[in-house]
Amino acid sequence: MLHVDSLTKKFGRLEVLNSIQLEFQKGTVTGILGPNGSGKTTLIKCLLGLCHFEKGNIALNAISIKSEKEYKSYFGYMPQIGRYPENMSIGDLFELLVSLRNQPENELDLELWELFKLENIKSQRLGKLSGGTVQKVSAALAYLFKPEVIVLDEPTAGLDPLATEIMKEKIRKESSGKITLITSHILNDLDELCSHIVFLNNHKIAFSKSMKELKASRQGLTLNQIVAQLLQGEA
Amino acid sequence: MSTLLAFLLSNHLKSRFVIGYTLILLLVSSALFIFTDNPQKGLLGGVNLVLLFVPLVVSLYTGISLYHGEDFTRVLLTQSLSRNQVYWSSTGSLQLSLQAALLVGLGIPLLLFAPGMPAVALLAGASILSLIFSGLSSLIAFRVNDKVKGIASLFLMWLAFTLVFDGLILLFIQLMSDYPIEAAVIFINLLNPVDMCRIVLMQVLDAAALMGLTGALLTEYMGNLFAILSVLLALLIWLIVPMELSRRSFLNKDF
Repeated sequence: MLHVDSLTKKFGRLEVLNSIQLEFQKGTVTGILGPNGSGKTTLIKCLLGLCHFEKGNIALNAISIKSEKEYKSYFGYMPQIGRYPENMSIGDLFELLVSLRNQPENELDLELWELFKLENIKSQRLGKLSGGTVQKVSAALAYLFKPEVIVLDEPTAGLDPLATEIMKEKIRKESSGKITLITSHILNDLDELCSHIVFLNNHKIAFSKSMKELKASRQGLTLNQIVAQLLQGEA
Repeated sequence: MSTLLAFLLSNHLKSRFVIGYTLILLLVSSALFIFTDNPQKGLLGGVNLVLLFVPLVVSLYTGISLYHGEDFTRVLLTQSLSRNQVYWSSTGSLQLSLQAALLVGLGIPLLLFAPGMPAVALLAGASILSLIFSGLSSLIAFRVNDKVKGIASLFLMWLAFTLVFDGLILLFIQLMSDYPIEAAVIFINLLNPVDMCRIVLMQVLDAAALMGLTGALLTEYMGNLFAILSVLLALLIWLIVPMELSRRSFLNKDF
């Protein structure tokens, strides 16, 4: 269980996250939504230990975020914009990341590596790859170490339809036994994938509900329509 | 951590920028010796190369590659690594690649055309300036979030240390020429790593007369050995303080 306890983050005097209280259970896929500037990215960065925060605590199964290395060893992260050292090859990058962890090779998850056919292009230089291929590399890296928590930032943006389907299938398949967090503006994808939705607005949690509850409260609407209503209600 | 360092170093060594820097150093420093009639003149030309060109290239490359590498740094920081490890691998690989470029680009021509103590001093000076400017630039790159502002600041820093500072000293000497300002001039020179290197190199190359007032004054006031030691100490401070500040900025930065 990933536990976020009264998390507060400021950039100078601007409060970007205001006492956020959240719990993510194993086996759930949570979509993190909100208008631009609501603090989604900052929340994710805090969870990943990329941003420092003033108040509050984050812990995964009682392992505090302050125990830098141990906490992070349970995380897999797929960034929205991946940019890797230009002059190295895809193969070099994977070798590096594998050698940084002491995880035996047979315990690695190479499914996306195979499905995205990265083996065939592993000697290509990272600086020469197209945006979509970079996304494939990032996705394969995120799942590589069988992490307990997987954080996907716009996982399907830039992927072709086939790769998008592979990615969605992977997310679904791996969701049991993992905590999956997704941000995306493609709400149709989230509608299919997520079991829970966290909606951030004005640097606070507007609501955190399961998909069932959310849909029951607004009968017959798709996630798209619900979010549109919520945003309009704000404006 | 050494795997990461080796990986990043290999990436730098394959970059066009570092290869180009090495080749330009190689060409220019060879030309300095080939087209002058004695090695002493070649060495003096080498001093200008080391004092002006090296800091500029080092600052720009450090800035560009740190800003460019920010996305990958973010990925590394989500791996099971401490921030310190990521910091030392990123800046260390950068420093080492720039040192390698110097060793090949400047070291080989010096060894071929002017082997001896002055050549060693010149290479050592270049190496220290490279370390100092890369450290200062990494401090700027981690402090200034905006890439364009950061690169502009690096350029201004280089301009300040190489041109503006000397201009101000000359102005100071001009304005205060009626007063005994020699000791003050020496002290002010210690505030600038480029000037310090110039002083030491000129002393070693035995061309103190060429460098005008400060070098002669320095010898007169402090004596050779003591002068050089105090300059070396000042250089060491210029090296360690910015690096430590840059490490702290990195540890506290929001990526």
